[in-house]
Amino acid sequence: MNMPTILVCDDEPHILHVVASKLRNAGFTVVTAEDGREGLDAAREHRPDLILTDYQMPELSGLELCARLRGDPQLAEIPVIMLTARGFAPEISGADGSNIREVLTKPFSPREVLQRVQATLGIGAVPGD
Amino acid sequence: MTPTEIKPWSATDANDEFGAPDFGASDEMHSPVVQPVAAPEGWRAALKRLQVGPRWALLPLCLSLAIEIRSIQAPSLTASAGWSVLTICLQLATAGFLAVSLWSQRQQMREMIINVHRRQDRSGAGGFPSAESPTPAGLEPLERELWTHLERLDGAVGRGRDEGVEFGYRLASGEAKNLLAVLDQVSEAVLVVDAFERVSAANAAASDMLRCTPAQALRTALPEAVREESLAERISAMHRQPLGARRSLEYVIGERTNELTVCKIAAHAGRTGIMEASARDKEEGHLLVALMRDISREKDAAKSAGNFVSHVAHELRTPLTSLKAYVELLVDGEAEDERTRRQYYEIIQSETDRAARLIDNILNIARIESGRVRVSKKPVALAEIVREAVDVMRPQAEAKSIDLRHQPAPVIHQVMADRDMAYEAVLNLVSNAVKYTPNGGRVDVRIIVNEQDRTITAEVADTGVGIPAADLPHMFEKFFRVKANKDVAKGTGLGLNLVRNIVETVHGGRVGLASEPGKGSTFSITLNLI
Repeated sequence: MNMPTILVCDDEPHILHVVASKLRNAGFTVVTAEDGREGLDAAREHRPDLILTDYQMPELSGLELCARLRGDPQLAEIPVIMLTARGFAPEISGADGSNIREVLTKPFSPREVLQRVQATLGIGAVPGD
Repeated sequence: MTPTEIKPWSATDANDEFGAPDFGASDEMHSPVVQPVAAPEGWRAALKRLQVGPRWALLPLCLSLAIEIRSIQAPSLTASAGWSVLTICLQLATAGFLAVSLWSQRQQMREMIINVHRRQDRSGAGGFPSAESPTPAGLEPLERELWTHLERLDGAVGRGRDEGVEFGYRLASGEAKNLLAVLDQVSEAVLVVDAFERVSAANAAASDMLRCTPAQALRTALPEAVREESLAERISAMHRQPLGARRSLEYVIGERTNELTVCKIAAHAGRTGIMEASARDKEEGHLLVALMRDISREKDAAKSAGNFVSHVAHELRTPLTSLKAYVELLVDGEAEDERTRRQYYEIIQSETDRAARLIDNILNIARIESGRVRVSKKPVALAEIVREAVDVMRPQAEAKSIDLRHQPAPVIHQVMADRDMAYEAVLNLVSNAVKYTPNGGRVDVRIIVNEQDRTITAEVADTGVGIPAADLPHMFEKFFRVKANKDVAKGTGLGLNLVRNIVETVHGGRVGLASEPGKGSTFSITLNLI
């Protein structure tokens, strides 16, 4: 079966690990990156079906990453779910964040992440879960 | 000072004898020379008309003198009692005529004085009785003299009054100048606008609001004087408000945020009012006072406090996220094996510690910065504290195969310090050194005493990752973490800030730092010896 690939970017190793773990256990192929630049490179290389990224990251912030993605026609359509520790993120809205589908505030639960990923990709539980 | 009407005679109306309708009665109060016999009204008037003068007394006097002389020349002729009686009568008549003429003269004087007074008193107080007869010819020169004198007096009084007013004015305007000089020292901009939209007063600080100098702004129309139209509008809007109204709003000029407060106050009408302009408007008795205060610093401070709070919250969310996530994994049974579970437990533990440390650090820093921290300073041997900190860090250093060297120093050198705080600071430095030094590195902890300066320095040198030169100035700032080293170790970004607060704010010491990327860093704490 064609298992969707998900790119997860976060500079916090624990969070990266736990999200990746959850998604892998749910049957997704997961690629990880520890900062915005790595994330951009990984996106170009792996062409994921969805990108999960933290807001505040070194090198390139989550928002900047999204902007770069939009700038690349091959990556502009990839849906992005933003993870942020801010209470609200007013900048993430409107035309500037057109590829951002969801915003999840920390602390979030991995279950919630999985649900949102599935919802965004328009799929139910992946077989093999 | 309002000029008062000065009457030529200092008696007030109520007690003024001219106010008394009955001439006869007041006579008795004011004529010490002669006490005329009180005669009924009609008789008095008749006597006045007769114009009884001193001359009248001459006739009976002469007659009685003649009789006396005759009786000396021919005693037998005037010997009879009749002649004696006649003589007595004649003498009585003399006295009578004299008395009446004196009384009459007095009345005439009074008449004249009333006339003069009436002429003088233009406003015509109703209480003055009309003179019943014009001034007798004989008294006219006296009347004229009196009148001239009165006019001169009036003139002098008027001049005195004017001078008094002018003096008062100068005094008040001197006071006004003093007040304006005081206002010029006020750092808040003060701009006063009268009801006719003219600038009434402006202090030196108001030049920020104005297009011209404060002196030039006086009596200029508000929209022309003020720098920006919107400012003029905001001030003018207060004209319609009730007296006593006061409004504040934020007003930005360039990069500075200001608090603009406009109030409407009652104006003091009066010729010697401080605000010349307002003195004339008695109908619209109000002034607008516009005050402007630069609150940029307050806003920055509030913003940075807000930043601090949000930064803290943000920092706390991170360990919380991990905690929540790992707990959920465990609860959902997603840790496949014991090893994974153990790993997750350890992560939960360390993240909990991290959050607790963060909170401790933040509280400590906040307490120190707000001066609310309880400090108990005692003589403390810095060498002991250093030794303790090294001992505590030794296991972690060994786990990373780091050579942790400590040069013992004599405990004789003491500082006046809060022991716990000093320990916290030293421990922070040693812990950082161990954290940011890769496996197999070295950390040297030394104590250096400077007898000349009477200072003691604890130095922690590592062979760690070092710090880029650009980041050096920021190392002791809150939440600052070197980007390049973020993978090397986890930090709250507050440890060094706490060290600086402890050493510099609480103990008056100094922190020091030298570093070379790739080679290592040396941190130091210097305190004064006691």
